[in-house]
Amino acid sequence: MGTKTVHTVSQKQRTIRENVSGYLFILPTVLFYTAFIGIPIFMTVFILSFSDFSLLSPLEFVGLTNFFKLFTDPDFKIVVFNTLKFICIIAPVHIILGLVLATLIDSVRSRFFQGFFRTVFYFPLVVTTASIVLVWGYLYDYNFGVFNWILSQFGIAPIRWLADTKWSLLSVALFSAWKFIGNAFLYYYIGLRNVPDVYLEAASIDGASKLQQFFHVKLPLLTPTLFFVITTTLINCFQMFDEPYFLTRGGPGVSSQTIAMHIYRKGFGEYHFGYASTLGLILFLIVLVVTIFMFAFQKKWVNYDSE
Amino acid sequence: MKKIKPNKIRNHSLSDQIGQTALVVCLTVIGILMLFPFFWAFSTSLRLPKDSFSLPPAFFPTEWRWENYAYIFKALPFGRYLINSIVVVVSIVAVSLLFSSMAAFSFAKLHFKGQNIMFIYIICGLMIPFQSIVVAQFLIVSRMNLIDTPLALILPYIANPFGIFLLRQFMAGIPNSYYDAAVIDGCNKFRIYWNVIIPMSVPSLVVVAFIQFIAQWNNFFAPLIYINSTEKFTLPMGMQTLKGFRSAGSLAYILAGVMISLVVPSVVYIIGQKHLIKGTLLSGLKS
Repeated sequence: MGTKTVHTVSQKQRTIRENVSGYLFILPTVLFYTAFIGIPIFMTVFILSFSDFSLLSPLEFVGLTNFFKLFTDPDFKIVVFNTLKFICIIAPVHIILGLVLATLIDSVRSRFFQGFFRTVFYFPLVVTTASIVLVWGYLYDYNFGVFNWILSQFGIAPIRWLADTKWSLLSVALFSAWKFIGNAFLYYYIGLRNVPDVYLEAASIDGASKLQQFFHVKLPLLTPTLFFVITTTLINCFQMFDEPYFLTRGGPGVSSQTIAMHIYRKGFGEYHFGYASTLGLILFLIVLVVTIFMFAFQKKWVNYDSE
Repeated sequence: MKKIKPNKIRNHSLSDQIGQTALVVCLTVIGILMLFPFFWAFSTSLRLPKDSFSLPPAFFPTEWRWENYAYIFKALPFGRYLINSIVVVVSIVAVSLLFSSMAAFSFAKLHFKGQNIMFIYIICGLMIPFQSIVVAQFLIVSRMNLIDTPLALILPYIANPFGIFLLRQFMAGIPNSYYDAAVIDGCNKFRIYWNVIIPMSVPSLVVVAFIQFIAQWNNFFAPLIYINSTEKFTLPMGMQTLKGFRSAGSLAYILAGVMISLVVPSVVYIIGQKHLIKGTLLSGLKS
């Protein structure tokens, strides 16, 4: 009995100590997180979205006015549609082409070439967007651009890539697809490296062709990666800002403006901070719904084979 | 078993060899297309400024005017931008790597009340688009009187939910026997963290450091909002001032500036990429 009491006391002390040290270790992160992310989330969701203020005018509660404004803001519908268009162009490129590239590179036998290709396809992701976008701006140039020069070699009339409302969104999407495909590619590549060789050998002994091996062995094992890539690609696309900002400033008009750019323009261009926060809340809700949707349906098709 | 071996050997021979060669050739062509903007920028940056717009576009350097590089380096405070960028990015990566790994250790190896709630609280940061909270964050940063200081670029990025998530995944995979053995040896929690868990987590630490380095090196939005004075610009903002050279019609100078700005991330990438693959493989991004 005596020893047992001693034991429980020390146990209790130990749990207290464990609790204290547990919190000490997360303390620095929690402090910074709360100051710069936690409180801003709280402010946006509960205060700013329902207020009207600018740098000079004080905060004023306006209820749901900002939310009604969404319906009268003629650009809001357009930027939401633009963002969806961007997703429809970029996401398939990243999700499908990234997988094709990763599969091809994974099946290169020479280690040297495999490493080389890996480096090449990931490289655009690494370089500063603000710099490389200057290069693309010139590639798209109407008079001297390389793209129009190539078209002219085939006798096709030049295109105003960035200045034509018909083309601006596509041009920005093309740049984004090029710049960020390395992300999806790398995750697929790593997923493929994790596929145990025994499975593939077993399949090839059974006479499965390379294509069959891909669809019946690799792809099912790759579904967790696929899930990860699709979810992060969608989330990233919804937050797209840099590419249209640099290439077209969202223009001409608002033809290539995204939700994220609209927030910036309303907040830091026109100083409608309250309305910008409401837009931010809407963007967050969209991302949240997409994430929940992805997680809710993952059981239907994602294969977590934890042996 | 005997039947399989010759089969495999034959597989590796002729038809397969041709397939491999075709694959390498194909990928090389795609790779060159991918890298084409870089080739073009490099060769055009070496041309005479007045020739930089002449067609056909340059695929290989036709001239080697390195003077363009010297000129743009003198014309723009590149050294300033570079130093600013390095100070900001290195501070973020160093401090946040320390704090993130501490938090990850706590979430992976310690048990405390409210652990799950705290974890979810921090992981929320992964789902919040930066633009959603940018107005609120701007108000806080300006209330702290940090506008137009490097700290405005550093402090908001110290907490790194992605890094914590990845490191926790990795540390959770380290067998508890290491932890228990260290406890028996009389190590306190900090020594276990520092002397046992951190050395074992180096690959995933490299991954987190690398991803954060690249993200912050390219961060354009934060300086766009927080920095006003030119001498405090980081490289991405500085690159925008290059556009001023457009009126002079000197594309070659602009592209020389672009090439200079690519040096640091390229070097970091080439050094880090091997570890990046290995570390991510080990981190088990499976779920």
